[in-house]
Amino acid sequence: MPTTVYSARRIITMDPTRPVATHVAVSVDGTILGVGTPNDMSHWTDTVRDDRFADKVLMPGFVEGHAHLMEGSIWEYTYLGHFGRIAPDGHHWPGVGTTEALISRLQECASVAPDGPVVGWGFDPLFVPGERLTRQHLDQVSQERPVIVFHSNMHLITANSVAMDLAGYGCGTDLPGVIRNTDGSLHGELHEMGAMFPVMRRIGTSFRQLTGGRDAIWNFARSACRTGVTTSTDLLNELGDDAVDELRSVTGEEGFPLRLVPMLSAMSMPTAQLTDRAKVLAARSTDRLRLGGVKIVTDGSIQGFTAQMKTPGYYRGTAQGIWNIAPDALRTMATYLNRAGIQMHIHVNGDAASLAAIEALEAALSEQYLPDHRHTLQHCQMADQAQLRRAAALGCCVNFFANHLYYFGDKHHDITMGPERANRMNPCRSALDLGLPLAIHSDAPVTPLGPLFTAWCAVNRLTDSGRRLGAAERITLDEALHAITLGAAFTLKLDGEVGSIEVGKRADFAVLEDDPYEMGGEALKDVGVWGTVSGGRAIEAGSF
Amino acid sequence: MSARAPLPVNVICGYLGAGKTTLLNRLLTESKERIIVMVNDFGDIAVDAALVSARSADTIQLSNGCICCSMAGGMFDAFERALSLREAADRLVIEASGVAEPARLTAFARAEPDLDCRSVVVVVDPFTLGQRLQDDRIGGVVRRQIEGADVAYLSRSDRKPDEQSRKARARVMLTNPSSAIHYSMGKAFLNAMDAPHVDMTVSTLPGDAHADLFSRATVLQDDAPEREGFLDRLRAAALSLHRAKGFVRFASEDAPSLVQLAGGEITVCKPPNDPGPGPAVRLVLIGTDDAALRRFQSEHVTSDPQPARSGTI
Ligand SMILES: [Zn+2]
Ligand SMILES: [Zn+2]
Repeated sequence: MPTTVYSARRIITMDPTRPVATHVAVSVDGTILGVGTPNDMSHWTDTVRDDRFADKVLMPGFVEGHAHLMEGSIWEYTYLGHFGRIAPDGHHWPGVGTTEALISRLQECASVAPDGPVVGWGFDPLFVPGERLTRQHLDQVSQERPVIVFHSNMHLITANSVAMDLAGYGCGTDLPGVIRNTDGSLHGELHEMGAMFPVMRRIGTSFRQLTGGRDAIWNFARSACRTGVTTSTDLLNELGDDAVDELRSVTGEEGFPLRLVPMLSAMSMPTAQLTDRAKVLAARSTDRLRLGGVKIVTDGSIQGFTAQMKTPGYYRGTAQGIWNIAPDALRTMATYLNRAGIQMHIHVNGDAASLAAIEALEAALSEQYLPDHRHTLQHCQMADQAQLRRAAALGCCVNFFANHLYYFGDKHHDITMGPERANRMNPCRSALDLGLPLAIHSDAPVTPLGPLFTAWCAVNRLTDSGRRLGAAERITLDEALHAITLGAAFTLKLDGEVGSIEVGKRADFAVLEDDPYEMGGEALKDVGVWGTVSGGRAIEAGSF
Repeated sequence: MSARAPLPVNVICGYLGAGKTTLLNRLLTESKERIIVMVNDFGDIAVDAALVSARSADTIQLSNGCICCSMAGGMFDAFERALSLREAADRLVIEASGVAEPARLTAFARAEPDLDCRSVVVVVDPFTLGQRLQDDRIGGVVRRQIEGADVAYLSRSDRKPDEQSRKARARVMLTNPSSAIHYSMGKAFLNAMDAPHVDMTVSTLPGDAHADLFSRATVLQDDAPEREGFLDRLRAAALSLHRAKGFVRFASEDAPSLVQLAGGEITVCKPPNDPGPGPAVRLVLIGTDDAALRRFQSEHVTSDPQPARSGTI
């Protein structure tokens, strides 16, 4: 069987013993056999030379250490966000800047499908000038069909009159989360799931639909290919048997171009059963589906004012944050899982949550030493220096939410965290200086999937308005590229297989139109992506 | 969506180890109803899900699935499941997680026309309550659990109430004077569980910053007030109050009345359950006008707000 030798303008290997190359030999089963110069390739006799990348740059396929499959399913609805965004099918949806534009986009989408509910997503009223979106605005889209708009945080919707009627909401309704105008009439906004539930249920929109399904999984792979991603997490999944069967079968389909790493939700069953379940799942892993990790969610989000903050709390407002698990229970859970040798990914946004997680891991690791555990603090956006030192001493990894700097940075500066703490958010420089293994992520669909953009955020720390948050926490281009390849692979314990272009590893490449080093850190987000090579197969973005 | 009467829902909340599961198991043993149990306590280790499921019509795991704060998606599915089992059940009882904010759960039961939100029960462990309330990590959620409850159940107090449970009772009353306090799971408690939930929360538009403007005040008064005078004062304050709820034993009346204010309307009626002994006035007020709240408060001889002293109530 022939070995394929790919040539490229440049191959950035992330292997310190051979940082750059021009040729890579790949076996028919997708293993890297050789990396180097044309001469280095002469060892293989039965070879096929493939020069299609001769003018392109190869990197190790990017690894997204924190994203969700929902990125693949949410596009079933119409995008209404402030920032332009690319759908899995490649369609570029420009940002929506005005209420008029929002109404006309929904009218358009209503005219495409002749009946049924009209649903939008990604809307953020803070970015739309003038009167806040109301029920009456959405009545302009339809007075016969229910119309609902999910706000970008998914915790709020705005609904039209038809949708309100379905739920029995009317002028006299006085319920938590059902917002009224001063004259008592319905505003149109519904806050939190309790108030949203009666509407969503009656128009057949459920969150369950957004967490799985063959189309969603393929769509996710399409978005991954567009952004050079060849390995991605689905960082919270209940992973029932049906879901696992579906994941195995879809990722096993011919040409599926992604290694998917779903994490079992620690809340999906009693802690005592989690360890067994995680082990059963690990045994069901395949080449393209890696199971066995566990995700624990401790608090909420900073922009939603539900993250747990230490004193002095939020900069504006009196929000208190929420716990999804009590700190005491977290400690017990961490001890159980650590004792069983199971790797934990712990969602911590606020600094009170990261502290609780560090304390829990400290207790767990004091009870039982677990070499090379790689327990990972996910998001970990507000951890201060003392917490980072403790995390480093424990041997934890951090996966920072670098995209927040750009997408929410101005809001954090002005409203949620204030200037000082906004500057210290997602402190990549400090983490590296302390020796913490570092990854950075998008949390797609919360922000768009795109590791090069995420790396750009960590290098530049610029907000949407152009403000630089905490210049001292910037990292170099090299460090940022490491974070989106080997760094993220390390947090998934996959760095022996992917994350660099080395002999014996999987032939997973990001195929780039431009050389990140020629473009430089400031232009990193503009580096073009042709597609990927996954397990040795070249796949152009948009070709499937 | 269905022609059947809405499904009655109770939420049982309370911090880890307060005794929620014990209460739930006793409820399942003693109740004649077919109960769907929704369990959201997996982080807490202690739950004996098998025991629960052996006794109930069905058990639904209320697990977490939302991407950013993780709670919401799971609740959504769990309520859909419960509603699909409507025909087979007389009641839905939700055992909330130790850190659940009851308002997030009751919001479902209140908004959904096919559900009927009954009493929210907070289970309180008298021996640890003081310590929990002072814990800066979880004190806030423990307080909000008590604030959001209609009924407070003091566990481990079946025997003769001792000093600890008297202190805990005073703390609960100070935090939420409108809750009915129970020590045992007798008939009175079961009746109390069946009463409708009275919401004491507010909803506002974000950006209005109204949420920050709402204050909450507790009024406790040992002496029974004259009915007319008291209601006049409440009526005068009504415009600046968002809601008020509590128990008032008026002068020359034997039994306390349930007094509520919502949408500017004051209602006075017989309480659905015995609120138990306590000060003659036990009222909680919510409003945007802090000065008005304090004025109303000062018009009444409030008990010393220190729980230690109230231990003698
Ligand atoms: Zn996430
Ligand atoms: Zn959320």
